[in-house]
Amino acid sequence: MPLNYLIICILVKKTLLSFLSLFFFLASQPAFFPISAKQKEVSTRDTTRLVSFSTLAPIIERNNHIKLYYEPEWFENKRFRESIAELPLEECLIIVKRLTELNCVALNPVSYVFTPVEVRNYSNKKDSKGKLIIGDENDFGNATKATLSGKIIDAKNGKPLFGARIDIDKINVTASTDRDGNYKFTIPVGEYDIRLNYGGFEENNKTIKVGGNGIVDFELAEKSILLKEVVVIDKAANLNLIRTQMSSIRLNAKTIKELPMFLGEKDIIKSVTLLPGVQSTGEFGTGFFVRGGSADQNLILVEDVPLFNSSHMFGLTSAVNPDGVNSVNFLKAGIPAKYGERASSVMDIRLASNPDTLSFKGGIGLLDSRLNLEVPLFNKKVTLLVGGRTSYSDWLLHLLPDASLKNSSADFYDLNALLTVRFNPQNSLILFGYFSDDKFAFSKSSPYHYDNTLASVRYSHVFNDKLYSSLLVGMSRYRNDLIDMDPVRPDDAYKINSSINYNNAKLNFTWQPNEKHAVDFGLNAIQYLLQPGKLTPVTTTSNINPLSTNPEKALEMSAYISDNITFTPKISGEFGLRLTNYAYLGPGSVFVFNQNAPHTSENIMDTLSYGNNQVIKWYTSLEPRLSMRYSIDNLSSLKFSYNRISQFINLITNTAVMSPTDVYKMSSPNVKPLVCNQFALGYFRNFSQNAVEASVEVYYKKLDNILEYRDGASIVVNNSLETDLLNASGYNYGIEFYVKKNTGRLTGWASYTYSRSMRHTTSSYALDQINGNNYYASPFDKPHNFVVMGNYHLTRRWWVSGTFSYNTGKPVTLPELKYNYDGREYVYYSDRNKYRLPDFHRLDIAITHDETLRLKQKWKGSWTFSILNVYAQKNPYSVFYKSTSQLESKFYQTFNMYQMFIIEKPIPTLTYNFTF
Amino acid sequence: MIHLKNIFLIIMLVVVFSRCTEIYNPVINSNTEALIVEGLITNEARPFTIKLSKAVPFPFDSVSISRDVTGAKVTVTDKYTSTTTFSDVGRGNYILPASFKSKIGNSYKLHVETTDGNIYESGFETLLPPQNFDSIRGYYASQSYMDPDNNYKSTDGGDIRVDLFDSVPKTASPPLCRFNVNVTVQYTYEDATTDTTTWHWFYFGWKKFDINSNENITDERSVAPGTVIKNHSIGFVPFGMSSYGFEMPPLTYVNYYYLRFNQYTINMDSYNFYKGANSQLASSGKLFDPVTAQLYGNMKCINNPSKIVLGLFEVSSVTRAAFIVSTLRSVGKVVLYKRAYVDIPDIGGVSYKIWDKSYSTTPKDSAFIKIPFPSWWNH
Repeated sequence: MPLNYLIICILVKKTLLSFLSLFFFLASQPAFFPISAKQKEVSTRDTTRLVSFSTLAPIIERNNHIKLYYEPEWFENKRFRESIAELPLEECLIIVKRLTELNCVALNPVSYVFTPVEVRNYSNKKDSKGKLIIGDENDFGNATKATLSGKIIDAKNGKPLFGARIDIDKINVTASTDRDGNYKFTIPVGEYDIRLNYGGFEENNKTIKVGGNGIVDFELAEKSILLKEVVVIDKAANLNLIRTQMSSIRLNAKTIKELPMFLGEKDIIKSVTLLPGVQSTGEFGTGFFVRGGSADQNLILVEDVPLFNSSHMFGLTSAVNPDGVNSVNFLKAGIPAKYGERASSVMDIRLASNPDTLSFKGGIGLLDSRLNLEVPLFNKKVTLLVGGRTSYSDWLLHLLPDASLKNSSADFYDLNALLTVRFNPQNSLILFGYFSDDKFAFSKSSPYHYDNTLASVRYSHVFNDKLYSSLLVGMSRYRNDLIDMDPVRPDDAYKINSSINYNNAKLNFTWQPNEKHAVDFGLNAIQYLLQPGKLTPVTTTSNINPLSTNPEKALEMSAYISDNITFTPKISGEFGLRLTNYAYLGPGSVFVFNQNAPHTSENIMDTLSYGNNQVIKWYTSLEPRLSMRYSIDNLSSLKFSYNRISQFINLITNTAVMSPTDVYKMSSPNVKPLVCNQFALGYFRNFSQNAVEASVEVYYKKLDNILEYRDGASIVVNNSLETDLLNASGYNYGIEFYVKKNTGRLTGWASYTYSRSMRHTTSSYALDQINGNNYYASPFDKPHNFVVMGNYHLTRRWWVSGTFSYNTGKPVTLPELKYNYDGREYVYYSDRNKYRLPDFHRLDIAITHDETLRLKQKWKGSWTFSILNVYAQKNPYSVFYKSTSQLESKFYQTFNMYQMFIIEKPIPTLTYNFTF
Repeated sequence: MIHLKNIFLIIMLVVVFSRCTEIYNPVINSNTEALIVEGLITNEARPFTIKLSKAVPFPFDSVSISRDVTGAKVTVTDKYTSTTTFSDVGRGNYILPASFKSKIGNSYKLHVETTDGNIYESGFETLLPPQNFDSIRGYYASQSYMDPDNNYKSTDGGDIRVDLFDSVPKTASPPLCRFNVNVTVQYTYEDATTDTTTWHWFYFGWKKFDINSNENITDERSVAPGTVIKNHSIGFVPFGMSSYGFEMPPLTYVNYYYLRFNQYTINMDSYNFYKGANSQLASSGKLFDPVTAQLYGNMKCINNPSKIVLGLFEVSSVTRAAFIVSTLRSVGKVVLYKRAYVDIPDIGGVSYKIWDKSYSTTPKDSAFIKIPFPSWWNH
């Protein structure tokens, strides 16, 4: 074998650096030679005997019609069972490599060379399902834990990647590489999906089967092609089967790129509403509804602090800038004990900052412009992400079907920053900040404004390979205000503002005492400071007497522990318990109602006053959490979960759309905490080697102490708000069918959900009842929901995508009678939510063309042409009864029911995306 | 190396929104019935009428269809247990005898027994002392509206404001008032197609408009100090016939805007009713509209609480005033001229009369005999 040929072959391999070393090493070895014909002679023999490699190698060569190249001294004193030569070549070589700690590289289909380990991969053996095997298969079941170590290197040049990350979601293990690219961690033996990440590089997902200690080197490649893949939700191949968690959706940076666009903008929250069990507020509006829960029952965390208003412009776009987002973990049931606060769901959003070089990311959209900066500092020990958006959206408002909006203006911007400091592999610090600001004005004299401010500091420490911890201190502030400044009535100009200040501290430990347990435990403390409403004069000449609703103060303190236990490879479970103590604090005053009468203002018997920080009311909540997984076989599993969550903060709204005047209300002696108990059962099955995932989930959710409102309730600067609220309870149930195709030219998902969400009051007093205490549909009750979302690659550079969604119309209260009084027409409404709007359905499509896919092409562009509402379906957003005065009789048909549409015609958009 | 990623350049956009509201005729399945009570007793010396009717099914029946409730026994009882019986004068109207005199400070309860055996009653409603405005003025302003084609338009007009309660002791509870304000547009126009050298067809007429689309009530105020309310808006009087929805020939001349101002001092029950009415009337399709609000009055069915009774038995005192609203557009001013308060039919006028070409201010008939304007014209 000519040496030059050997060199050329080696150079073309991905692990270039290693092979160059090999070349120099081989060039210096005079004994380097192919195996002689003589040595190939064999005779009938006992294949179980131990032989030298010089004996074994010719047998392998003969059996597989290959040639092996090696340095004999590397095999001195090594003995092999001769029978391994009868194994398939790949398995045979793996055993040889494992026993010799050498590497073996295929130069071509018939030539293999053994080399000293430079890129040490003891684990390139895969089982029949493509799982990477680590450790000796023969030892599987003997070991309880295994230590994995190795390097993560740049596939292009073999350089170690400092700060690359390995995540094992199943057991919540995360490891980072040191300056030399080395990582090391100990985990229970078993089967895992791992995610390898490094800024600017493609995420690499692998399934590993760990039977013992092993050294595994991984390679990561730089991102090369924009929108190359169309996998919608990316994770390990069978993660949906093997993880204990159910009812969850995980989006990462790559899949976020593939999300459907709304008016040319990717929108994480709107995209989530296309998933089973999640429903939107409509084509306009803030938030989303999860399994029959209201929008305020969703805990939206950005870097561990909650975002109170998740929308810009009241729902036209979400307040989370997708450019900076690294991952989104969305949970609908089986919510782990480390999460609490909100009853229905958790959306855990993480930002990214792990750049290799200074990079900019930006965009110009229909609503806003964006710019993101990511920069490594101090030899990548520090990384910084700074991003921001600002709007120019007035023109869009002017197109909306509302007279006031046509004369209105709206602006928003948001800023976010994430600073990561890695002191060493054991210690790191993350500083996070976010600010968003929205201004909205029907006219110059009546501007609305709201803003979100989030900040957190998180310190992470790795004690050892069994114990990790993080300490977070964070804050979130949401403020809104409106000004009414009638130029003719300057004496009555006023401003109403409300705010919520949320401060929290979280201490979390992850402890993995052995291979069967992954324990999370920690403490969580939250301070709420609410100003529900404050009326102040806005000019010096205003005669408005300042009026303020009583501020509210509360503490929510929780301790939690959960253990993710692997009983057997088939059975795993997560058992958790969360204990929450809630204290409603003074200063404040509390109404004492006549217990034998409706809770109306007329029946307030007394008002009790409390001093600052005096505990007015304690609530204690013990919240068990349970998730179980049983793997029926390698392709299917059964899961069950139960969670109980208490919620102590409520959004009070009596408008169809979340408005700036909505207020938050803490649980108090007269407002009991919302309690949610949810049971869920799911069957999960994959097909075609995990290319297709399917699931069926059923759930039942019981809600107690839901806040409802009386007809005509006033929520603005209302010191007796409690008299306008009613206590209700309810239940939600449903069945969700979901099928998703992950690979191939056609990817996407389809889901169908049948669900109900019912409420009722229980008071014995007619005034405190809704619909006479009979069950009625909640505003989130849309029984049938069907979504199909798909991407199809016509060629490598052309692909089309489409989303079709259908759901039953939302419940509404309609007039049943009408009558005249004093020259005006009034109506008598039906029981609450007795009727429904017409069903909703819409089709959106897009086609994308990538200009180039070449790796070395710096400028990469793509065109996307999309059409929203392809077949011009008129989906009523709301209906209203409009009774106008004679003065406007020409302009409106009086005394009629109207339906309003937000998007009634196709909206085509052409977008050019490029990167360099 | 600098990466500039995901820069979105929007190079084409076609967005067409138009006519995004439509009449909606839902299918309503209901056998619900409701008695409507519309009654008002004031401090004035005039016969008071109670109107009883039944609500009509939504959405197809017109409220103009008579569903009058006749044959009912209707009485009013004051707090001194003096009871007076209303007379059924047909078409659902019941009138108190002229001998009935209301008294400030007294309380009244309405009692209705319908022929189906149901008994309805209000609580005792107190007649409060009347309040008058302290001053009234108009501001030249503009107001915007949408036409049926969703075109955004505006009109100029007079923004009429009043100051209130200066004389009320600052320590007293602020009075509650509602304002019924209407404007009678008095107009003339000529038909140029009949123009001759000496005469052409001439028209004059009037039409009354309520200038508040909602019930106009005093604010639930936190104004201070005391009870004074400054510049409370009582309505907007548009200048220009098109703003009133008239389809007039080009040669139309608005002569006068006759404003009638009725200030009712109401008790808390009435105030809550009108506040509730506004919650319902305010539902005009805006994106931040409150959810639907049921409107209940102060009547209840005594023998069957499940029976629905709507409307209001209102007991309130009233003061009235009238003005001509005039504008000086060139200087952006609005002037109010006080006039006698007179009752005017809602709509009326004279047409096909001859007006000589000299454009005298008085029309003439075919014999060129002067036809006088109504006595209240520009009073």
